[in-house]
Amino acid sequence: MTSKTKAKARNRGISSVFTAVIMALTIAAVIAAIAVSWPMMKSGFDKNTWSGSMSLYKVGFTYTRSGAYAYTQNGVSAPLNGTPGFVGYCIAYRYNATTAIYSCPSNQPSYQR
Amino acid sequence: MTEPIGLVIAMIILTTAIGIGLYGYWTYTNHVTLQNYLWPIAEVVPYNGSYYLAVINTGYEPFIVKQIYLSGGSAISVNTKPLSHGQWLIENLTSLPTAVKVCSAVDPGICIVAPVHGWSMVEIKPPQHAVLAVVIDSCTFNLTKLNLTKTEEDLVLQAFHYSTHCNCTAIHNNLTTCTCPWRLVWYGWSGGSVCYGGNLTFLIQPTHGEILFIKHALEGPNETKPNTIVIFNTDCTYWLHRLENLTKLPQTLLQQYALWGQLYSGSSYPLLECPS
Repeated sequence: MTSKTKAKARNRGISSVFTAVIMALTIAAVIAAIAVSWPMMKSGFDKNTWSGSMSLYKVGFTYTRSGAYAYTQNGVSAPLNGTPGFVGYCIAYRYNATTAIYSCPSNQPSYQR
Repeated sequence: MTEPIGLVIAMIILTTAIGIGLYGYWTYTNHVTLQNYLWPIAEVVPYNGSYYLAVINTGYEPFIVKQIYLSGGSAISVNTKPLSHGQWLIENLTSLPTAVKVCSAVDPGICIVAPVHGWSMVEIKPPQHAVLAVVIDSCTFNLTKLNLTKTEEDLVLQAFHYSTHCNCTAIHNNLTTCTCPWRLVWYGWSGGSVCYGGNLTFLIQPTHGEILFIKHALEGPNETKPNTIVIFNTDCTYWLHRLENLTKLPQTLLQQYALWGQLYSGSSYPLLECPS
């Protein structure tokens, strides 16, 4: 075998090693990128779910045997008083005998009033 | 000899570049993740000539309320203590708040601006309909229709109609002892009732729709979901007293329905209304 042929064979070997390493690095980088991205992606999904649930979050009012009550859809209820109080994620108070004022996550932003 | 060295150097450079890139990306995703888990809700109602602002942490990442933006374009700094899940911040303000800036307590450099929700005014009314029915001994009122929807605000208590006439004349045949020869039935639910030791235990199993209860009115759990059974306990003495009064009144079926509605809610605000 001549020295020229030997050099060619060595170059081919180096090229193969290089290709293999590049491929390994690429695969490792992609896997790492996915692993790093996952918490962010999950947080994005969670935030969307939260926003959706908040946009539907309402409060209801009713009279019961023991007075006026406010209740929300996650099962929270509280007596309605003359001062603002918390009912789940809403605040509400009794404005007069038959009227309540409240603010909930499903309400329009205050600057749109 | 030079080629392998070159290869090694190229590998080192490439690996370093990928490492730095990944680290930068990791820092970015960490920032966005923390930002995405900031879940503040801010609300305002007018009260006593000022604005009553409340900010609640509905998420599990603690945050600090940094600033409150007002309608005139100004802002006030507040810098609260960290609010954990379910904790509120309350402020009385003379100007209308429009937004709040909250920053993560984990990394104070991560902030978001949340709009402040405005208020509404609503008339307090007893629910239009109720789901309560009374069954006395073997006499059962047949209930045929109930619109059980999840969207209505009056989900707590829903409507029923009766379809067949009940020939029941005596609503109670033993008022002297504290036993309960009657039970309550909620239409749209399977389940019965048993009376032990004078107090009524009422089992409810929804067949469709999620039902919420007004805890203080029903003396039971807050809510239940399909395929679960909840138990209500009521005080027999109270009911017997009510039934005793009931027997002194006219006994048409419609009136009974209205009265039974009052059993639950008091005479001022009947939860049941006579069908018109």
